[in-house]
Amino acid sequence: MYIACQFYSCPKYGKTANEYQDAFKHSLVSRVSSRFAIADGVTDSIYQKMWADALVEYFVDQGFPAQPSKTAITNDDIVNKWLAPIKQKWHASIDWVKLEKKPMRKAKTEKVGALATFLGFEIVKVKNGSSQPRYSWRAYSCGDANLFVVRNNKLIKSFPIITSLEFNDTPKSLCSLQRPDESISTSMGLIKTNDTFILCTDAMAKWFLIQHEKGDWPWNTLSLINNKRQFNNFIRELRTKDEIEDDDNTLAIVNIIWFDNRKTNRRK
Amino acid sequence: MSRLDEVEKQINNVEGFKVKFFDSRTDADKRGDQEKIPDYPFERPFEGEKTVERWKIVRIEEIYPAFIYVKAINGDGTPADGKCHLSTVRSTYSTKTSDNANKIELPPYKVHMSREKPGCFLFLIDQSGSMSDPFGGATGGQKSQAVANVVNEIIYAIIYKNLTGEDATEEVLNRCVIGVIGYGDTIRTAFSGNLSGINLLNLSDIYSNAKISEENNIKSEYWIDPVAKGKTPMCEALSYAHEVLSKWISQHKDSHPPVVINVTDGESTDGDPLPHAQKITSLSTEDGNILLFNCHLSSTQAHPILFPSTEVVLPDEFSRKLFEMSSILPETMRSGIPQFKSNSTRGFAFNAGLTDLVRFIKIGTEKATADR
Repeated sequence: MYIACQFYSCPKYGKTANEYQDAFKHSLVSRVSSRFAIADGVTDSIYQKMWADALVEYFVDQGFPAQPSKTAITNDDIVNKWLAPIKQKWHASIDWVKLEKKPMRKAKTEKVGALATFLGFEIVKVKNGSSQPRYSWRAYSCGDANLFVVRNNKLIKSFPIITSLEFNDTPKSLCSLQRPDESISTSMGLIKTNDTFILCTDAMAKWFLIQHEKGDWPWNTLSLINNKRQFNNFIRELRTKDEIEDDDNTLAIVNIIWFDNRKTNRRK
Repeated sequence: MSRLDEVEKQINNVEGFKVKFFDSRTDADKRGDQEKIPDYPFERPFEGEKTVERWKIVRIEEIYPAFIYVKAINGDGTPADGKCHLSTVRSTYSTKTSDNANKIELPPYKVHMSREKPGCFLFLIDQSGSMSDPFGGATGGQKSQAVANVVNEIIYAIIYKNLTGEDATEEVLNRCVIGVIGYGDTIRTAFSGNLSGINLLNLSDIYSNAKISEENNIKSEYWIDPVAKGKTPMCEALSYAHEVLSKWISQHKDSHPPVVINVTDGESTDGDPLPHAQKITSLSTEDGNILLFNCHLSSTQAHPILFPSTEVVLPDEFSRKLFEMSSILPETMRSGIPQFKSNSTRGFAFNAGLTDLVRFIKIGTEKATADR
């Protein structure tokens, strides 16, 4: 099996790449596992880009400690333990001496902290004892960054948001401060040949679902994008037509382009 | 889950044509009072260029049980053909029905203050000689200090909410402008230093020109100093505010309307302020009329009163006048204050601040709230 990943990002209108608050990271962990993560720093919080970066980096390096069930929300203790080193890293990255001169900034850092929505996605080999390799995907989510699974030109999974009506101004998010109610939703499924996985932050996810609800196949539109220039033009066009909200946009398209099932065929 | 006839109505409202549910086993029209039917989860109409059949596959078949099937109905009551375009089905209804299906009328005060559609806060603060009298509220001190505290707290809360970014990209999001007009021996802007003389200022400019106070080892930004000098020309101040806001509104017609907060001990010395207040609140953007709130800081030692719905509870004629001048709180703000459900609740405070009220005005995305 080969995994191909395209990644694109585009800041809000009139903003520079430095002001882009989303984060994306991926890695081929081993021959049998790959991890991808996106996070979207919440604008009204503080040091949010630093937090989004820390979340995706840690997920891609370390994964998530719990096995997902189909739709379960993991135990708070597991989430809190997983978040603890990320929170420490965020806290240590802040120049607290400098903050002494900016009391409001210091107060907001201590009382509100950074918030980010998060989506972690991994592909793992299933240990089934069979000679035929089988792979599954697992997703871990907090908030409105979304995963779409497309198979045979049909959307077979939308996680965690299912309809465009579910997007609102108060998505769940992970906080850089100690908070008792952190939770992460999980999902999983088996991978089949030519499956496509689309990971994106909220504005693009909402556009995607609206198109699908209208009867279109937005994954086909996205598959025509081959480079950053085309992605920027695509976003600009959607903004001009008022079809997408003006927000940072992050898109990752993961294609399972070939699946080695020759052994299976031979057996048949 | 809803009754079947309610779901038929939901579909009609979204799609712009009527539908009928049938039982696929008996082909009979299903009873409208049948319950526990999944709600129609869409808010936008399906594309007009698509066919009835395509609409059923994408929107109906995945939601409704297999024993139910749906027919799209033309304006004359006949069932629409599956190959018919939805735009054709919609065109068989009167223009009014079709337009209503696509147009969503928003109630007033729904626009979020944003960089694209900034809002406006204008404070009018009483800086007359009477403000040197003692304040009857819990904090004690002079009324002029209480006025400065009320305004500084609200400005702090607004900027705090909009402060974002890392050290290198620190930013205060300019989702609104703030002006502070003092009235006493003269009418003038109450900001000092680099900020003086400008009626309405960006949040980023206000933040970068903050003064720092230190009390009990706790540092905090502030902007307005106490002043008590001259008479109380409240009418003149309201007229000046009208002039400033007329100009701002002409440039921001699609923004949340300005919010005016008048902080005073109530004793106007240049006439009845009510007509001047009404002239201000008659100004509007597309999102609603200007909101005028009053904060009465009195020497009277009485319990603080916040957001009353009747003047009967107020202690004197000044507070009753200010209550009359105050806007009724819009539903969008009342919903954030559960204890103030009455639809006659007004934006008025007696011997208390109005910081809470400002928190319920929609600034930005509301994803994080000021907790000071």
